[in-house]
Amino acid sequence: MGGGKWDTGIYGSARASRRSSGIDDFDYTVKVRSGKASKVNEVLDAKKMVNPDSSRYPFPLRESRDSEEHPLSVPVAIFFDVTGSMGQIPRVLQEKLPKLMDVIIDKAGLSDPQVLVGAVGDATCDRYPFQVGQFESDNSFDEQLRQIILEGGGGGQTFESYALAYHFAAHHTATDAYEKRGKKGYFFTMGDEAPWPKVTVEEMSEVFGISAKEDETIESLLAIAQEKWNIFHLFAVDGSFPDDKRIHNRWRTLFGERFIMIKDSSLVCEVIAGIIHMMENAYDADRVVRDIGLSGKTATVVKNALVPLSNSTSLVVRAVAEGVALTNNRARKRGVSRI
Amino acid sequence: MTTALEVISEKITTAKRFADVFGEIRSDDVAQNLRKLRKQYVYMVKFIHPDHVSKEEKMLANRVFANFVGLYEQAKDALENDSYEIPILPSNAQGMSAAAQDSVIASSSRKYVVKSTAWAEGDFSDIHLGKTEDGIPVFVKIAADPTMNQYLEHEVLMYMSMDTSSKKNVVQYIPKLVDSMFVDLGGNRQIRVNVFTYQEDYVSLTKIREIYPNGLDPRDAAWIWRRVLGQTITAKMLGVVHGAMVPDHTLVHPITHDPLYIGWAHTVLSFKDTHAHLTTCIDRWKNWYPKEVFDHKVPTHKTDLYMAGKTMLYLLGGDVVHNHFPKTVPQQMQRIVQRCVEVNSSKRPESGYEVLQQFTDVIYKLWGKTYRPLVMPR
Repeated sequence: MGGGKWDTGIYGSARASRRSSGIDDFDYTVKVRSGKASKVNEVLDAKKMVNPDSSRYPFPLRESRDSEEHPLSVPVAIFFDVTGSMGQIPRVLQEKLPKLMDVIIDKAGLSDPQVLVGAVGDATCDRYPFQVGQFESDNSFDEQLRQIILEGGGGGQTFESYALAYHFAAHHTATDAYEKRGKKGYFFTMGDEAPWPKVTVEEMSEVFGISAKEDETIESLLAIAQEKWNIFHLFAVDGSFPDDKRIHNRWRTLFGERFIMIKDSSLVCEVIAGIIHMMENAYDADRVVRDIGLSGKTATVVKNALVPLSNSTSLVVRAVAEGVALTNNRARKRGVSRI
Repeated sequence: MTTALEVISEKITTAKRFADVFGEIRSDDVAQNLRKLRKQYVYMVKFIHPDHVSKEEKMLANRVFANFVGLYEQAKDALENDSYEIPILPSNAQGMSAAAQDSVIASSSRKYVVKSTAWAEGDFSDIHLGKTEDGIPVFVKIAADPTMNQYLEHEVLMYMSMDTSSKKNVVQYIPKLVDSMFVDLGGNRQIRVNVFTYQEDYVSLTKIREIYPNGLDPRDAAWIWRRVLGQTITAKMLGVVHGAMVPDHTLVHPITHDPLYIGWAHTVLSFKDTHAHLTTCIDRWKNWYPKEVFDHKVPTHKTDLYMAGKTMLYLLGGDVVHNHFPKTVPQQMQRIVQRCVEVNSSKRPESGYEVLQQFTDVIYKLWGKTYRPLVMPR
């Protein structure tokens, strides 16, 4: 995966031609609703993942790899809740993807982002609790976004299976950014509900097609996933549970300052771009909002979402070194092992 | 917060090559190269020209801009003479004088001079001694490679999360985290660096045991283990499980007997509702970890106590794997340690504080309150 190049023009024209042919941007959802399709689209099926090298990786996975065209890949994964009131998010993402890419490349300075999109539902009752695309450097992820089934309907359950996304991040991703350069990717989940506390053995088998001996808690999945990902949860304040302190606190305990509240979820792309820009350059919220080119009310909403992150320990001061203290690595005798 | 001016100022003062400031310019066409340089020059001037910055930054901008113009002229010459790739002399000779063998790590706001050779090897970092600009001694943990950055990041996170309010009496035994940075290595690689205050003359239990290869006199091990228990209690008071209570991570002062508690990079929060597991174990201390850790159970205060018990066996020169003590160790002492290293965590004592009290009673009965300086040959 990961060839090609993001092209704003192609994106726009593909969309225009769908419009003119009367095809919905989310025509796969239309097909599922009308009974013409009944399964998760193959390209998004986590069970169809493969393990490229079982001597290195325990599970099947999605890969974000460098290529000649993209030598410094940095993965960006975005998972959203496709149930209930959050169903409009993919449409927003789709509309604003070009801008998101522009900001990540031009402002944040990541030359080769690779974007993966995915969706989570509720594994305890939804038919399509987990859908996951590929890491793409070009328009293909827009295409996969279109194949995602929007469960719509329902809503109001208070719990969603976000932990499936963290299971994916922890066990089913391999990235050159991390393996070659120790560089963490960016991983976003977005929704308006609370997370189920764990992924059960049954869910692992049903969703990922793997057999495990024991359930995994969301905390331990996050601990593992955070080794190679900067993970954020974006909470839609305009969703079903704007004031539910219990839900907010649950997320805040898990994520601290990386729990980001967004007042207007249609600004999710701006917030994601802002977070990446801020993390990459350790800039404050004012500078970031200005760099994205926002003004007025939009700027205020995005800035408010980003403020808790600025001045936090997540932002790491950049430094330079002179001398050999950082480079005269000796053969190391010591080390740590994964448990 | 760092401004563009500060970033560029930093770039100029630390540049080793023209490309560090103006970017790579490599074509064979000199005129095109000069145009490219000019373009980058014009672009950067927008951020640093004294007319384009805030009032507060005017002074800095005057200085930076003058240096920048000088560097631009040099770069122009270099392009014309095909010497653009040749290293330039660092322009920051002013300020701190770093000895030839020292290294300098500088962010936009702070600067550290550190020894180029490591003082100690950690499990995922090298530890270098150094000083701040004000001459305050620090130790600097430098991730061994970028994949180890995560541990230093976690350490910072734990320092921020530990509930230190109103706990001055225990916090004083933990080195203060003074800074954390990403140092650019080039090639889009960054190394994480954490800086802590350094106190001289403290020695790790590993060092001590190396000097006493057959184990310590139980009377020496006794006061040292009281400090180890103190570390488990400190962790509990701060709302965390230390998670790596191994001999490297407890330091003591041989004369004052004060402890220094380090190694908080494996720590997990133990607040209600968190169920974080330990995800890594330190290879050379594998025997210190209780079964529950490998069984992916949530670690508790009792996990720390188990590891503290193993450390005592090690100090006394016992068999750490099978929990056998040398015969010279008094039975009462053995019994207390033995309870800590029970495989079944429910059989271990509930609290380190309770163990400390019992243990203190036992050693006072055995030997009274006598002070024994620890002999540490230099």
